[in-house]
Amino acid sequence: MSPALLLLLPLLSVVVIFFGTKWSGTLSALVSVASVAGSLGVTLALFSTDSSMVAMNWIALGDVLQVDIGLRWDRLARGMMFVVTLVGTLVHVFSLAYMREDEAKARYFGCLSLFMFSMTGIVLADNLVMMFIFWELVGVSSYLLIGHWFTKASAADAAKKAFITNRIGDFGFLIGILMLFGLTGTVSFTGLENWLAGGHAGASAGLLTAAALCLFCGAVGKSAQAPLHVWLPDAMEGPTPVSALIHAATMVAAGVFMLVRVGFLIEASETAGLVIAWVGGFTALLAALMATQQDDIKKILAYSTLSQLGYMVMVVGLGSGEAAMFHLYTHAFFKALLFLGAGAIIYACHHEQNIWKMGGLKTRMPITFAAFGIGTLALIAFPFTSGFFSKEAILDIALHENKLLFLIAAGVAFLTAFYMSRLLVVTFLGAPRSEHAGHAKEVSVIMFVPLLILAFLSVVAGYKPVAELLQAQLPDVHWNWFVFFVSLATMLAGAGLGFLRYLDKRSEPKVIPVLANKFYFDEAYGWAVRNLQDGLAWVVRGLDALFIDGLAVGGITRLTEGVGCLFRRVITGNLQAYSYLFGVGVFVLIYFTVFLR
Amino acid sequence: MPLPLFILFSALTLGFAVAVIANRNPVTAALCLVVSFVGLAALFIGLSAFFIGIVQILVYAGAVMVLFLFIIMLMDIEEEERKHFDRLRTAGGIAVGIGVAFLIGGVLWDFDYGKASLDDVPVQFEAAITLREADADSGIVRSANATAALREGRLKDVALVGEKLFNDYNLHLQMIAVLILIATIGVVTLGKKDSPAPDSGSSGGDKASES
Amino acid sequence: MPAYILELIVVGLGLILLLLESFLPRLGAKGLAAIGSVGLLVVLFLLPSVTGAPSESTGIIWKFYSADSLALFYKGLALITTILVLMMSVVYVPVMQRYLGTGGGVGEYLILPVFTCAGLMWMASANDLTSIFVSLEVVTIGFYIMVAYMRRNVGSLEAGVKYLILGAVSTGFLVYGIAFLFGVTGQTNLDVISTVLGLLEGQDKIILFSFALLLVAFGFKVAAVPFQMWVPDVYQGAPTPTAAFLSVGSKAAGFIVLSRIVDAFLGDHGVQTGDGSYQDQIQRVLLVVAGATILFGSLAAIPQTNFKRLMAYSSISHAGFILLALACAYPVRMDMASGEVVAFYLAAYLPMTMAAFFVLCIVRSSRGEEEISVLDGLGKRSPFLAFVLLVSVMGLAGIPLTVGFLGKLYVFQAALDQGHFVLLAIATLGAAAGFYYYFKVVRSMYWNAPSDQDAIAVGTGSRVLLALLAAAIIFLGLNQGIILGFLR
Repeated sequence: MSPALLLLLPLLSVVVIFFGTKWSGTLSALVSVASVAGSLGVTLALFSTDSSMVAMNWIALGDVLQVDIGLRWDRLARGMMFVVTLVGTLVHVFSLAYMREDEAKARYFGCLSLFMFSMTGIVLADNLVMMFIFWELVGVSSYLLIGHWFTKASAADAAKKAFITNRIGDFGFLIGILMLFGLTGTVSFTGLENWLAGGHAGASAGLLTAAALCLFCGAVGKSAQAPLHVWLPDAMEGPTPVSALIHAATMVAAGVFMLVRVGFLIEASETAGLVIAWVGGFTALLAALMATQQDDIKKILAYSTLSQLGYMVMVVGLGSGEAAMFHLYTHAFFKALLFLGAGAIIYACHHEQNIWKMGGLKTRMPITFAAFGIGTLALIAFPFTSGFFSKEAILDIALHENKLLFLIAAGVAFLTAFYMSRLLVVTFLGAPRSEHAGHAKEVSVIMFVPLLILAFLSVVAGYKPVAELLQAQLPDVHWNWFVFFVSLATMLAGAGLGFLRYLDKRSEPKVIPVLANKFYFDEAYGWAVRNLQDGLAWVVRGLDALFIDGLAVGGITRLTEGVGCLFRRVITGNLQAYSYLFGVGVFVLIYFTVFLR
Repeated sequence: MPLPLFILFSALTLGFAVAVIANRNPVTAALCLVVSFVGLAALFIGLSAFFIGIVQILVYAGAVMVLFLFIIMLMDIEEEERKHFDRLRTAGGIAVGIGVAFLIGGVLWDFDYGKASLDDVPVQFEAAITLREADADSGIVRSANATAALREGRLKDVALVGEKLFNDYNLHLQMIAVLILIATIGVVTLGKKDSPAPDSGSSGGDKASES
Repeated sequence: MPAYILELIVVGLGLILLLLESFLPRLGAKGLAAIGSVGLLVVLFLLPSVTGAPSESTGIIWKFYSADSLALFYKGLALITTILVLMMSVVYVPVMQRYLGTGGGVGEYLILPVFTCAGLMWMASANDLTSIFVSLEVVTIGFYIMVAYMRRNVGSLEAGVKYLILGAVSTGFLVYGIAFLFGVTGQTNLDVISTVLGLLEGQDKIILFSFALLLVAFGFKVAAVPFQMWVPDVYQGAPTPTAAFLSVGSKAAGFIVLSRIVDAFLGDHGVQTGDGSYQDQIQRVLLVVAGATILFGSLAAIPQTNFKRLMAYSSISHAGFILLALACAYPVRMDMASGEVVAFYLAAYLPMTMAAFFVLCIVRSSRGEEEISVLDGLGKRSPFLAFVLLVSVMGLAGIPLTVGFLGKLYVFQAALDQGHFVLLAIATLGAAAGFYYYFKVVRSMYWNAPSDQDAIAVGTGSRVLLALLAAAIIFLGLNQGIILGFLR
């Protein structure tokens, strides 16, 4: 069995669904679920192998450029692949119930398979060009999934926003790839590693930093780091299982994964690492602050995701890819759990997403409450849950590398505990604040089984033997009592404050406009787009009208038309005009060939 | 071929060729073409290509032209209408013609006639092939003086042409057979008469027989 | 088995089809096309097993006929193109019957491609001026008839007459060029001519003159500026399968012959040295023609609203790219001769163009129009057709992961290797314009509201064939080794 199977299974599913079983939603769903379950099986079966293979030579131009479609199956890929396929499988299963009544079920599952295909491609890619291609495919499938309910204007807009914002980051990514290709003449990870190991001839440190930062731009877009984070909360317009799969566990993690893949480049440039760490830290703080004032259950989780991704990016910048991947791995489980839990709540409350219209769900949905509670505990790093171990590692590394970032990280931990307890208290405790919440019922088996599996993993995934078994990256950190106490203290303080402040409240006690409005990022971007971009567009349009339309296209058209008119007057019948032109052509060609030298 | 004769026949060929285009009466035009062909045949004969010269007269001036005349009479093609000739249009056409003629003249002016005459043309294909093996220093391998051989009657050009055509150029002969087959198919299909029941909304169906 | 047997089989197949058409009329268009395609497929499978000239040159045929790998490659292209054209013709038959009048049948329309295919295969092998001329005429006569085949359609007839007259003029120039070249070298075999040209001195003008005349003729065949004016009218007027055949088959054959001729003229004088030799001048002329062709094709395509005219201009622009590759002679760093780049580009061009015309045929037979607006909302009405067309125009535009991208990439790389930066800029402009005008098709399919809701019926055979073509566009785009493997 070869890792190529992992790529082929979802691709096959896409083809089968879009060209075969499109007429039947149920059949398509089954095909899709079968393919992702198959992928999970293949991943598990290949756990003990380690290989890299070249499937095809895509471009080979002598010694100029060599790009292969190649797969790299190492521990990093294995761990990531496990996360992707496991969460993918659970989300597929969950979707069976969640999307049962959807009209476009076939399209939905087709797109999910397309996404799985693209994500697998990113994980397995052995060179930057191939990664970029799948990177874009992930963007496309995410666009399709966010915009699944495209008849709703907000969903269509969110899809567009996600795609365009991602494109901005991808532009940097592409430039980075081109820079690296220009410097090294290769795009394969192995080639780049060898080049760096060989003393990176011909590249100054500045160029290297610039290239690394350009690659980082791609991660900024995909992993929704500030200042390109604006798309992720809006992306919650998509179906909730999609949010769980794409916008919590996998796609947004692709940026971090990519950074870890090219970790050797970041290590080579101190400046780049520092910039990356600060962007990550900044995003973590910003997002945590914004999360404290959101009312939409999915948006709270979205900002929490942003904040956790900020952690990962920060720790990559601080030089520990392992810690980042470890957190990615634990986070994938508990965040997918939280999203699916939120999905179950939303489903039970008839697509109500405002937490202030919920409440009292503890007794009505006990299983969901338990699972959601476990997810929350893992997220706020309650001792000896999986999130605790990975956050410990991050804090420990931050403490050693950069004291200021450690403070920020600790602050974020406090804020995380605060907003998550707010979410839990408002949603599950107290009395129901709306009719829908009052009539909510526990969800079906097919929905809560994935929750329970994820809940189980959220607890145990952090322990070393389990992590070893599941091929996760383990950071090399030691137990540190100081970090433990800081973490415990911030967690308890945040959670306590949250409980005290929100227990039995009927609405937000104090609205902080700047946080509720997400620091006015969207407004600022809107203003910039309106004024700067439209201004630029106006200028470009003017140039276009003048030069392209006016001279090049219009000129040629007018010239042809003019000549045509002339000939129509001079020579009746096209054929004669053509023969005449032919004669002129012969004259010009001979003159040019023989006499003009 | 003596120069005055060459000029005479060339003038005949070219002059009547122009007359073919200039004449509006199709029968006159066809007859002018006959004269032009005869001039061409004379030029061939002047170049010692007797067989081609005779074929030119027999096939083109004879058979082909008679066929033309038959078609013209059968189809009862009328004299062309006098078209309004735009001065600009005529001038443009003539200008391009003269321009190309000048270019050809310019090329030929510099052409070194001495180096390549019929004498140098290898008559046998093998001579051309051995050339590849002979290296650059030894120069081009020439055959015997072809013109002299032709004049003395040692080289029978009918036999030569026949041998060439059916031995060496056999492949071409086969290809031309296919070509003629295709042309026949084309004439039959495009020239097919419609059955009596007319098709509505069609136009120009009869034009097909011309091509 | 010597290679020339293949053409004999193809001609024999054509004769059998002719007989079947007259004596078994109930076979119908489908039956004829099926037998023809199967026969050609058999020939295609025989292709790898044929042998070239024996080492001791015995048969006289090998002096006019070469069976090198390039020739076999182009023979393969010709066969595949013809099979696809036959399939397309079956779909197109209902449209044609409208214009045939009561007396006409479509049988011959399915047989002519087979004979023309033999001509194309002869052209692929022609390495002598005489065999070039004769095989070219076989092909051209076939096309004259196929273009004018819808004899009660004024457009088709007019296109036929235009193509006939201009084609005859270009043939005249071909003969004139051959005569001059023969006059200078005394040879007709291209290999020998190449040697003789190397020995001549001080004859630059007349050599260039004969080259210019040959370029006029082949420029007409491959639709290079300034001999491109017939292309849009003829494509628009001709039956769609014929337009596809012209666009791929005729062009490919024209290019193989042109590349053999250019090779003969350039000899081993690969890299432009700027020493003012006639070889340099030839490369310069090719570059200028290539640049003009790309520019003209790309810019004139922009305002088109008729799909076939759009494809016509796009085919002109592609011809420009191929000419550019041809002008680059021997790219140094690429490990590929220009002939191979040209062959690769044409092989890439085949599935893309064929798929586009095939979809157009199907749409035309249900809608009766060929404006781009006919495609409005095709993405909703017939997602499969829309998808295939999407893949095909993506390929034509040169989007990565399609085979069209690789073709363009090689051309750009070749131009870069030779340092033709002006041409690179023009080619970039042309490619960019391509994105724009191909996008019009995509926009019409996926953004515009459909004018009617009915799905277009697609037969199973067509469906399979279209799927194969789309798969080929993507799969060949992922793995360049396949085409190169056939090439070498």
